[in-house]
Amino acid sequence: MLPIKRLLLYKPQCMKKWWWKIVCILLLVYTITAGLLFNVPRKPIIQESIRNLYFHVCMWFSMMILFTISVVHAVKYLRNNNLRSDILSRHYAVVGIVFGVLGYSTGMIWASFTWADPNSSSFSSFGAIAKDPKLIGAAIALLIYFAYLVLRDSINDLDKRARIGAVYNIFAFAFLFPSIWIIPRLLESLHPGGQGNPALNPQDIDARMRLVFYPAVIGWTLLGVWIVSLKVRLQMLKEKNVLES
Amino acid sequence: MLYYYTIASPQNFVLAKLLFNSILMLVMSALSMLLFSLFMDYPVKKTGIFVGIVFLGGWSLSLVFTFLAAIAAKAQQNAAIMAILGFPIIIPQLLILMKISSGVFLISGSVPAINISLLLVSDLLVVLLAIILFPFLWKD
Repeated sequence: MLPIKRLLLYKPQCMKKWWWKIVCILLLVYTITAGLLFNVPRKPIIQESIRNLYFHVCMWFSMMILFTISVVHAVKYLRNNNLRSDILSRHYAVVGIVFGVLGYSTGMIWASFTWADPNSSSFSSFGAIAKDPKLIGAAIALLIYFAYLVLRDSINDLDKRARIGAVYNIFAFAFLFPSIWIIPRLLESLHPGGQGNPALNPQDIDARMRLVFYPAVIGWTLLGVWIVSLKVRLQMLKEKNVLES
Repeated sequence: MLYYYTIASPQNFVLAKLLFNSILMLVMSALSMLLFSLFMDYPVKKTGIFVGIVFLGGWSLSLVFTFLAAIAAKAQQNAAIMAILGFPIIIPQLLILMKISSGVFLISGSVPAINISLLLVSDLLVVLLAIILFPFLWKD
């Protein structure tokens, strides 16, 4: 019974420190104000909407980081068989999916101003936009993780669920890289960075934007981690109720 | 299952399954290609490359679905689970295959080598992952 008690009274070391939450709030406030107020380079067509870089691209970066943390916990589960790692890996995957969906919506808003032709109806430009390989790759990544959640729910036994979920998590993570990064880079794309030149390499992005971009990535990621920590604590409380009733 | 535990290691077991399914898929692809060419028009201009593409595509699909069958077998054999798990993973492979095979129907069409190597690399990835991850699925 002792290990279960320790599991239920779980409050990880990072919970006892609250400083990173303050950092998260400050970084996000900085991102939003500086993102909207600082000067940005005016590119043709994109003009001021390039500010969306701090939101759209950051969402995808945060999603990748959260999925990475999820797979690390999956590997930890396979090594130690500690159910705590399994719960963490599931919740990181869920919040990663949420960030991915947010990235998609910010992308849609951005595309409606830059890629859509204002002279033709939105229906006709939708076809051209939807064939973009990066959109398809991102959709595949999200679908793979949705399938991960479906798989977890289809198994009843806790240990089996954790083990098979961890295996599929590693498999899914390995497939993220070809579908989001490699294939869109090889095919011609509306996104910058198609045909072999990466858009976000440090020499490419303007120095003024870098000033807001890197803190923004950290800020959004910390927000994701905060949400996960709350969800995990809620889950632990629920399991405590189930075990005690 | 307990009997297999005693005679083979999980790596050998999964490699054997992958190999068997690959050969099965190659035979079936060859048969279906034969039947298609008999019963329908034959628009293919470059036969050798087309045969290679059919084998490559069949092999890639069989590798992915073998590993997914190993996962789904533990998940109470729900029939829909394999489709749900497999569908997103198959999409990039199908897209690349479509891009490659568009080149064989014209005399002047080109088959870019980089896509073929991409498919081969992703097949290698699936095989490696299957070998590494199968031992965890195996123990019950």
